[in-house]
Amino acid sequence: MTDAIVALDAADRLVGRTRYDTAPEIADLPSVGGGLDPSLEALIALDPDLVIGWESAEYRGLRSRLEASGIAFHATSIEDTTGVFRSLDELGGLLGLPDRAATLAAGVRGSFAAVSAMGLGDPKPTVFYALLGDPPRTAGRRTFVGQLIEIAGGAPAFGELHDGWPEVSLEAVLAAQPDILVVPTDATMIEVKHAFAGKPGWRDLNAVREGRVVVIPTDLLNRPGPHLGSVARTLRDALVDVWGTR
Amino acid sequence: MKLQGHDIVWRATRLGYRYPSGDREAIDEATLGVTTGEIVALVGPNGSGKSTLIRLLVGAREPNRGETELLGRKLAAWSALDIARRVGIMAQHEEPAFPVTVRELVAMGRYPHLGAWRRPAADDHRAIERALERCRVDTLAARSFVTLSGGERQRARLARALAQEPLALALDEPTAALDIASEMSIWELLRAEAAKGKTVLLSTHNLNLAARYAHRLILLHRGRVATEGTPEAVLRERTLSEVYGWPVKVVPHPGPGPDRGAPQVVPLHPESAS
Amino acid sequence: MSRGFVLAALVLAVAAAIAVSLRFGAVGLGWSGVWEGLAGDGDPIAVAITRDLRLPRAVLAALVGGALGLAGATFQALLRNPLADPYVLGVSGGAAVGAVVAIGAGWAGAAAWSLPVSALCGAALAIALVLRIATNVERRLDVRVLLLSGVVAGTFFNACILLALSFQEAEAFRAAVFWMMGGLGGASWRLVWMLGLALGGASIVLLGLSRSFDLIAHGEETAGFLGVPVQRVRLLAYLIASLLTAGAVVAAGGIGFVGLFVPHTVRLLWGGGHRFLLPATLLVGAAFLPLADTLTRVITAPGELPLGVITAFVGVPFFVLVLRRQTRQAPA
Repeated sequence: MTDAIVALDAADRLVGRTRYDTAPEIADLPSVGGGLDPSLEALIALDPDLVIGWESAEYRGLRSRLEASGIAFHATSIEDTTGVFRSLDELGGLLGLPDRAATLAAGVRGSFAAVSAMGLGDPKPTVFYALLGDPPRTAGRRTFVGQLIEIAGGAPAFGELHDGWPEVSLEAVLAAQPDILVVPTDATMIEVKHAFAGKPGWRDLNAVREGRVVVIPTDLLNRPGPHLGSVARTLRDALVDVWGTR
Repeated sequence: MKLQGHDIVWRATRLGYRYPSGDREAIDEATLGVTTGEIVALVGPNGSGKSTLIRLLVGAREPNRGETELLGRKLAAWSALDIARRVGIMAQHEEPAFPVTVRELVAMGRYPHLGAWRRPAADDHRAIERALERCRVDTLAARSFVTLSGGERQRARLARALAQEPLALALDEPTAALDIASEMSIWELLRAEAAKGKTVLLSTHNLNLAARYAHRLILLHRGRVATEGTPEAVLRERTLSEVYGWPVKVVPHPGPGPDRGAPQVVPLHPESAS
Repeated sequence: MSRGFVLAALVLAVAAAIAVSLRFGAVGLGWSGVWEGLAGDGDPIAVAITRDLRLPRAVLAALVGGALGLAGATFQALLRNPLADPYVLGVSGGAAVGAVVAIGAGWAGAAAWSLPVSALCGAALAIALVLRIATNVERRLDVRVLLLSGVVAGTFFNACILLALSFQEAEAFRAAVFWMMGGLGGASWRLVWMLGLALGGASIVLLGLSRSFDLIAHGEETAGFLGVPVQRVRLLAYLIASLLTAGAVVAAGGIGFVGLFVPHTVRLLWGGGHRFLLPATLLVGAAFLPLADTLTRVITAPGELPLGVITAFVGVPFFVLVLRRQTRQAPA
């Protein structure tokens, strides 16, 4: 959300940020803590007109406390790209900048359409978005990551399983043998390949053995916002690198 | 009179011991000896040091001063296992954390002979069966120890000590809180074992039975040996009244039976003392 | 039924449990698929699933179950307390803190052996701490105080883990779940070898101590009078039990209650001294955990449940049952 406000050229309207917001325009603003667990005290101390947060159980408690202190609260939720556009629209309204918001949204839609038009050829490669862990997790069809994969021309593996972020046991991944692995990490490609080589199961994936692994910086894929237009391009380029266009 | 000079099982010289948290000597300058085949009873009021002395004599505690010999060798030179092969020791209390049967309990007595790995052989089983029969708990062998009555428990524990096939027994109040028949059966058992050459050292509060069954008494008072010797020599009205802080009268056992004439202690009404 | 027969049957049960664990998973292979996969011919995916994923996982599950059962039986004997268990006593928590510290400080990355060693130190410190809290002036253990100390220590260690992980935001929650609830997803042959060697050595030592355990469990004073070097046995056995706990925690995180109900099941079913109890416990634990792990993989397939969820569902009712029987037997 903070990114969206910055993208709307409204950074000067912000009085605080979360600890994960690192855009240079707002780096000097005080942090109120985590995006999911901000400090109520810090929020009240900043005395803002409006607090924008997520639609979640934690925020419901926060909302009533903020409203008791006379601070308005707006809850938003972004699961998928539709949510990105909806939240942009809402933000435009809240900030009194509906035109800028509409322009920005149109730009993102344009990027999506352009990337989508290029495609990766038929049949679409299956792409496994791998949040590493025991067991790994992936992005479902109704998440912005799953939709980005589709826009970039891939078919999310296990996308049909679950709308959210399903856990998928490694052996199911092995059986599915996705064409491409997308790993969100800040490690380098070499580190990732080395790590996979040492892990039973992972090293048996054809995508790993044949080098079809894409590494995407975590920053790009853990926050939905207007930058997703460029992320779609980045992702598509990366997929083309390992898959080509057939 | 029964000290014959040879075959001394225990000899303790000027033992001294104080518990780490104690404010006085639990045992002070205690010198004593126990010879093969004897029944020696440690008597004295509560807190006079009977249990502590037994612990010192079996190496469960190290004395601060003085020295103990077991079978002519310094106690410190014995390993716990070597002691357990020669002395069957019975503590005052034991509360198993997990259920055991009487047979399992008695079989524990073979531990010092088996060690960690050896499988029980025929002579181990024989020793267990013999001990069960001797203490008349063979019919209870399959019962759980905790379901036994107080008297049965003590007999089972004594059977375990006998299963060790020891030269000597060191028993801390083996007849505490038992009814007449249970208590008498333990004393009879000990007399029979002593007759077969086993040495018995025990502590007890029952002066009257100690006078009938023990060859010698050792009277402890505040950690010191107040007096020791034959029951007749130790059970004197004046000494006992002083040590126990209660007036007593000593009368001969009226009979019938082999113990006729043994000194018997009768506590008096406090005002009847003169 | 003779004791030898029971042990032989339990070995078969372990083999059967491992077979079941190989058979079921997120991907249906069927018995023939599993067999071909193990043999190394047939579908390369089936080969990878069975040989690289399921087999090390099943074997590791068996080893972890055996190690936890054995550690539980040892703690129960030494503490003369049927409710003792590495998890209840906070020893698992101590090992987990040791492991987390080794990872956080970067030692684990520098030298592979530092992770298990650090976990062992954590486990040994934990049991020392719990005993220290629980031992009163007379140096005698009060059973209720002991359990309470274990709970206190366990809660404290969980807090330590959460604290350490809160400095590393990403994925911290899932890591915390692993260290607190356990899981076998990280199984590898390296872990199998590590834990296998530890378990093998520990079993031999503990079997050698088993007769002493009978006597110590019966009563420490009596054990000493029968020639058991009680202090030496206790020290060695605590060390071994800490080693087993640490090994299990490094391999599979914190898994509760296995060490509690496995020895109890053996006692209830067959009774007997530790020379039988220890190997039987090892085998029952080794049969139970692969089955529990199979459940975690099947119930929410293709997702997985934390292993501790299953063991807690079995273990907690058991704990309550034993506690009730204990307090009824010995009021206050």
